Amino acid sequence: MSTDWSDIDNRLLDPHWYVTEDYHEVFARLRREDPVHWTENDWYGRHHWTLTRHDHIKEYLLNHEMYSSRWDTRVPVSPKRRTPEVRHAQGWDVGVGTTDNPLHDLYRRPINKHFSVPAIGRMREDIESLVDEILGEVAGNGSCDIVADVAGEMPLRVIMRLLGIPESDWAYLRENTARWREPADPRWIIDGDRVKTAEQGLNAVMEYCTELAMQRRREPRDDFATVIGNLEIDGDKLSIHEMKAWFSAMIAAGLETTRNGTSVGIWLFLTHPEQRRLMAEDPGLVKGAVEEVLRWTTPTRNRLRIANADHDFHGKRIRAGDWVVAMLPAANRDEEVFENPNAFDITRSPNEHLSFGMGIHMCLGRALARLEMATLFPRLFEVMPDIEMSEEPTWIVDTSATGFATMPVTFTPTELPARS
Amino acid sequence: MTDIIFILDDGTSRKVEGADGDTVMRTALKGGIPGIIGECGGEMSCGTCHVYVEGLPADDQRSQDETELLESLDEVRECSRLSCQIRVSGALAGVEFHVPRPD
Repeated sequence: MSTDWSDIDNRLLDPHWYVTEDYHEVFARLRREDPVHWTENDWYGRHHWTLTRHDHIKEYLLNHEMYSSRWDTRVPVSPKRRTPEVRHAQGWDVGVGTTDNPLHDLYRRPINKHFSVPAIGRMREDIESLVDEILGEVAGNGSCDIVADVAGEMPLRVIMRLLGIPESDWAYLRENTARWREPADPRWIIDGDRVKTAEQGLNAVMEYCTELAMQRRREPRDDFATVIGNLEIDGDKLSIHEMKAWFSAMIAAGLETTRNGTSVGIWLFLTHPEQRRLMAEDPGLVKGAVEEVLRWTTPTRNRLRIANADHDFHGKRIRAGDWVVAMLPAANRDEEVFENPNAFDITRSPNEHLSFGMGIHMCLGRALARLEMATLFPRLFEVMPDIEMSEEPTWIVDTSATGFATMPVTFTPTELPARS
Repeated sequence: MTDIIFILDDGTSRKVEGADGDTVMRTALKGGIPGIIGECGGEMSCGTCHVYVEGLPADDQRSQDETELLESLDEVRECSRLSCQIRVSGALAGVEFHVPRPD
């Protein structure tokens, strides 16, 4: 007798299903019973494959010739086709996340050097002073919201300053990026309509980025927006349209994911004091701690690819045009790869999580995200040794983003101590 | 199979058997060579598989993309390469891959 999956199928892309941690149990069941699962998802309005095993997802991420990113990088808020006009207006046609090869590499390769491990390593002191600036602003208050005041501020300031965006525009961009990326959130949903909310947020960010591109083309400055504007492909500088797609990708990817990983990371240390103690006693464990936070949290929950051809995949027949959705937290909790996978263990090694993806679309900003978290975690607990939660944090209502909406904490007011 | 020779920062030499067609970066990982991380898996985005090498076959040259990524590294030399871009073959017999000091 076959299992009736219909109840599960209709939840897998429902943002409201992800406000507790119960989905991990369902993912575990899928891994065991039907790891390449045809999902009759009438709730979403489109049926799709759901992958949950680490080895399968790794294979899928690496095979960009079979699995196309042309539709989107994550499962979009609506399964409806985007017309060519909309694809162009919203930059999907030249975005580094939504182009396949050979086009993809033309856009991605020239920018890699700016985000390589050594290039980001040279930002260490800048990130340290930025972390101190943020902690210094809240240290004297005795309470704060970790999400808004610390975890959100860090990547916001990093990306906005990097691009050279004036501080007066940060709140506008943060709000519209949130609408675009986490449109089901009751704090900013428009008319109860996720699709409309995402469109409005996305269009606002795109319009801003177009203005920014035109402005930098007219008046180059000493910022990364200008660097992008000066990138050359086959001897020609990027067009305004191409620049805009880059800016919006950096804003979307930079703001939300690092904030989510960081806030959940702080919560993990607060709820696992023995792990926090280990990290404080041995600074050599910080790097591994960041990897474990990334694995445990999996800030971006899913990936979307479109099958390019009919093929067999681990016992199932996938057809050209089928949507194939990978659940990254399922891979990151796969007991075949990670011993005791639900445990938060900062000494876990190796730790081959898939939180940044893999292959040609692997997260461009991953070295920067790692540096931000590795700088913040130890410093935060040094500045606020008695930090505790004043309320339980609440999970963001979203299909793809795993993080907290709010996380209020209290601590003894203090002045920022000098760095040792 | 071809033996790939890695010279570590302290001057010690290590031999790792490489499968023809595999990359020198992956061969180094299999052999646990310190200083070669290959974090991006060979996509030329991380810059953590830097080697100094001379005596490669004449047709094994840096691409433009590889040259650009190398620009972001410390202590780049004329003979710098990303080992993820070099394929193992019999032509690498006797070639020495010098690994910079790990961070």
